Amino acid sequence: MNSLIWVCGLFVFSHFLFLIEYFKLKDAFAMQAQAKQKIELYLLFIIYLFSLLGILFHSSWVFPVIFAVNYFYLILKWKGNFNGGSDNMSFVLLTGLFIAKFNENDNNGLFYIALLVTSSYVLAGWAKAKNREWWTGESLIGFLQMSPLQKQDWQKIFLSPRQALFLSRATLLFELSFPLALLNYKLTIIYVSLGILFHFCNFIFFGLNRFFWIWLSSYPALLWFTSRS
Amino acid sequence: MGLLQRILQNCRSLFPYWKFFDRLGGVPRLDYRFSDKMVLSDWKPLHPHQKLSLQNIFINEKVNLMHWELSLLMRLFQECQKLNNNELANHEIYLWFKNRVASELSGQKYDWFQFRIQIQSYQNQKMIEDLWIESESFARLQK
Repeated sequence: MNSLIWVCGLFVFSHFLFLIEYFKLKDAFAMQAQAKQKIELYLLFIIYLFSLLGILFHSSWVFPVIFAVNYFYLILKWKGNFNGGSDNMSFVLLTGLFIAKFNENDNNGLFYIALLVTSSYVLAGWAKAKNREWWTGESLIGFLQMSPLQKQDWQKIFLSPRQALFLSRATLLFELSFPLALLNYKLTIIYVSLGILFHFCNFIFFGLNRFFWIWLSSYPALLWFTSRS
Repeated sequence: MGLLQRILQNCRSLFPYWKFFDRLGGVPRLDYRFSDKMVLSDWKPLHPHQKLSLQNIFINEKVNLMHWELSLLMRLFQECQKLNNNELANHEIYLWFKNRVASELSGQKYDWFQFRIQIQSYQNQKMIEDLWIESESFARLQK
């Protein structure tokens, strides 16, 4: 099946979940917008849904643009990013979809997404690697200790220095070596599987469900990259 | 804050920015307490540790709201360094949390409430808390 259709489908699914979350938070939203702007809020949600359907049916470059403008307006209302990294990745995917439809060439859009998702891991890994505490495992223990979620008993084993050291270095190795995923299809499968596990762990430890879905939406572009030829 | 200024500030989200969990810094924590007929409650966290279940991988609005509010507190911490007490008390994020605590207490009897913001950090294998802001007391608005 066409990889871009997979990207569109997963993107729409992810944002459908996000839309439900925004809807459930509508009271908090209205409060922080400092207005009783219910009509404006519902209008934003309708455009959100309408442009998602346009993206799902993969019809025109107009829908990613409408979605992006509407989404940007929505996050402005939230005093900035509601969920930083996942918002960034949403805009990367929208740009990729726009490029694909505007040029009427799926490959350009997929190429852009594959490149950007790879850079997301490498740059995140590089930012961590510059800190000594990531090499000793201390950072990971600190982040886990400060997580605002209740810790299950089994999660506490990762607070021990030895496990934290192993997990920290495994994370650095995974992120920094991610460009290897672009070398061949088997490596892509391995890295995509590790990526799913990585984002699932981020969900379990920090509750970052949006990262899980939005990065998952980008993986068909990686698989397309090495399945060419 | 003007619309243009806000747009410029938020343009960052349009460009890829991939620094996550890179540096172990402080994490803000907001507690509040209230007084009802001269009886003062204990400090209560606005964001108690949330329990996560597997189905939250689909819909997790409470945790996402909490992450967002913690990032707002962090922004207040960064921006308030240049503000005097009066400017801080009128800061939009400060006012947001004043309203937020008031709405948290909406089903509760109280005469006034107060909140404090602390910065938690992990240093030398210990959690350390530094008090950063203690708000004035806010009387309950009469309906």
